[in-house]
Amino acid sequence: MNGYTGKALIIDLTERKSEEIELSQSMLRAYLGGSGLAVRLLYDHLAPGVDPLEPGNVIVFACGVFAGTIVPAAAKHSVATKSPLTGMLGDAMAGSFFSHTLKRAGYDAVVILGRADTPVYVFIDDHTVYFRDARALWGQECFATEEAIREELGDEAVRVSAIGTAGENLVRFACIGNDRGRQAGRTGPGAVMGSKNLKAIAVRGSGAVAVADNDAVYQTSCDLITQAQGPATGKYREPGTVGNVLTLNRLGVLPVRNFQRTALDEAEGISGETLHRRHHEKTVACAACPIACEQVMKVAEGSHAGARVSVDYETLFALGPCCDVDDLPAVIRAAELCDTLGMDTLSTGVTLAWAMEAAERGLLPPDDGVDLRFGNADAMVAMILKIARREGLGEILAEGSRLAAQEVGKDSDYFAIHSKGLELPGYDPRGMKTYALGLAVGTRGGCHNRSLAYEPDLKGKVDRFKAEKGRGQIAMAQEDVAVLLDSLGICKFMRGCFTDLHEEGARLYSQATGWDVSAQELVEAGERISNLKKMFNVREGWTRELDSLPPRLMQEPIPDGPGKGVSLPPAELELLVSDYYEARGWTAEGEVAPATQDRLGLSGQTA
Amino acid sequence: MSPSPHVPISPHARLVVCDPDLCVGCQLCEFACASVKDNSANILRSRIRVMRQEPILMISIACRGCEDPVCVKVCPRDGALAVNPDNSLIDVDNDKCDGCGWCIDACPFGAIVLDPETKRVIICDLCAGRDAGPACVEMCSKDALEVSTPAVVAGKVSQSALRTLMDALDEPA
Repeated sequence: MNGYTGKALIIDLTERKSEEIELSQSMLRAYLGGSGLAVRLLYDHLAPGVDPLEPGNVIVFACGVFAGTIVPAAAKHSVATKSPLTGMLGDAMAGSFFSHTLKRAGYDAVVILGRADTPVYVFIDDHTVYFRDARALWGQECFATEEAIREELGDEAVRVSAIGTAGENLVRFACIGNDRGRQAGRTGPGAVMGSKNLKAIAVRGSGAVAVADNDAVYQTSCDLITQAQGPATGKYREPGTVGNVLTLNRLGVLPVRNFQRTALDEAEGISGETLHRRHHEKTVACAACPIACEQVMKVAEGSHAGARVSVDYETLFALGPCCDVDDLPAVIRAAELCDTLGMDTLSTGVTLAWAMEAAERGLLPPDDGVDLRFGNADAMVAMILKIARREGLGEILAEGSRLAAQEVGKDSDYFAIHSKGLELPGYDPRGMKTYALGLAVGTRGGCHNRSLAYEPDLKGKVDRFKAEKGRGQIAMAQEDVAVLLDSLGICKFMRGCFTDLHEEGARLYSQATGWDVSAQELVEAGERISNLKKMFNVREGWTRELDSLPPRLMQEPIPDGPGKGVSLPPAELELLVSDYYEARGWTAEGEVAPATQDRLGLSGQTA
Repeated sequence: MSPSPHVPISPHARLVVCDPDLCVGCQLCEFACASVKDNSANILRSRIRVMRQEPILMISIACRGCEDPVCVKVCPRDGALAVNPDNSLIDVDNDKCDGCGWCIDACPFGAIVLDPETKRVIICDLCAGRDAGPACVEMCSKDALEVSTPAVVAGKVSQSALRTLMDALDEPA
């Protein structure tokens, strides 16, 4: 098979055995790879209704279609599982070299079942699978684990996806780290690995991924690489996504103090430009990426001297303005701790912001030595360690903002900023109505990256302050583009390099696979995968009230900035959500209608 | 910095060098090499290799064109490896090479690899005969790679050292 390996590896941790299964052409064409393939395999292997942290849960790693080839910035892999944070679809992605290597080892995907009786790591050495003792690695940080495994196996070319302390301790937003600085970050897949006693997956891939027409793939890739040096990727190259702080502050959609405000009076000090100027040490790329967006920051002096980590916008937002922290070295230290302990920076920051507000309101029990309040950078840093270790207040916060607010009660859920349990990213949805819709209906919870619905708002293609019919169609189209990129495994930062993603994507896909795939087929694949994700959630007990936003954002108008006075009342969100269901061909209750299932080849699959 | 096809490469220029400050570790050079030299998508067939160490250290390494190359000396297959008199790089005679790998072990830079398909060793030849020069250099979008000479490299190292010294002198005590 060209483009693909045509094989998935099924690993049973309970029995410590593995087997290969064939992936058919029809299945691969229908679900592509990456996110689509991962969700398809998850849907097929997971029994509905299991507790996400019980052995019955399943984790799937799936490579993007072009992993292992020269196709630029297409090195993403997807991790799908039932999320311990949302109880719905866990749907994370990471970049760098893991997917290239896994595919060169001979697999498009790995499906992990069961639970090992003692800590193990799995070593996939081309077609041989080893279950190796990880008891000595238990307790180690993500990157230290990577290095220790490379050292143990004696090969620098081994790529590792590993969890840190947070995953071991079942922090519900624990991530999986790979390649010394990349994370499958959101929805808590690290906790699922921890629950399975699976410390890491190490891969050595010495094979090659064959493509049908090497000359054509090479030429198309060279053209894309040239495009990627142009304006379409300029902001990702420098200063990187952290440039968003000033942009969003200007637009009045930069969430500050747990979404109590939407702009900073003085944003320059915490801006990406300042961060870059003071702390930038090195620019790094994922495999075969001509953009190189990863900006490694370092603290040279002061109490956080030596902290070093790559920082992107969402991290800077969550650990900076959202907690009202303006101390860049502390943000770098906090981000480094999250990465090494293995916790999603976004959920960590937004959960901490909830805790700071709850503490200021006197709703939280005191914690020894940690004085949580907005702007207290030392407390933020200290509490991150406690969350990973589930110590003191960390025990409550490790559950994420939704469950923590349930535990604390006293109406603290009013300001728990999540949707379906997933903490929101750094844009205020009240001033971006298409984006608000995308967040509310997202299958993995509140997420800009899966919805891409912020784009029409920020690019001025629509009136961002207005909720109106028609946004359902726009949000759907954006979401299907996102899911297509996630399934092809192409980084979203490349999307501006395509004039027509579906046409050019279909050409590239055909060149790699040798199958004659049309643009329309890719459009449908995107739609099919979005619908399957929804069907997964419905099977897990999704109900319409979950397609919502935090009470604060639906009850308080924007208090300041350019959007002052704009609100997002529940009736407005209802209008948008209903419009979206209609555009999708779903029932009024938001379930995938039988006719839509038939059209997309998904019928007969609801358990 | 990338050589344009219109600028002839100096006859003394005989190695691909990498600036580790500019290298982002993407491996596109490896893909370019395997694609252009062997029409293959397999980067294990690349004659240039990216070394990436935690978390900010990365560099591409190809044949350094040693003056008295140890790879040639250790080759037990008489004459399988020979210094090319025109550019000081290493010619591999595929009829004589049997892939034993002694040269791979001996190369102090790890710049020789075994082609997994042909089972013969492969070494950078600066894309001999390719009008646009080495494919890796052309591919590198970060201008980290260039074709250079030991003398030019030495000059740059000196300049860099001087700048470091100047910066140190500028800093307040």
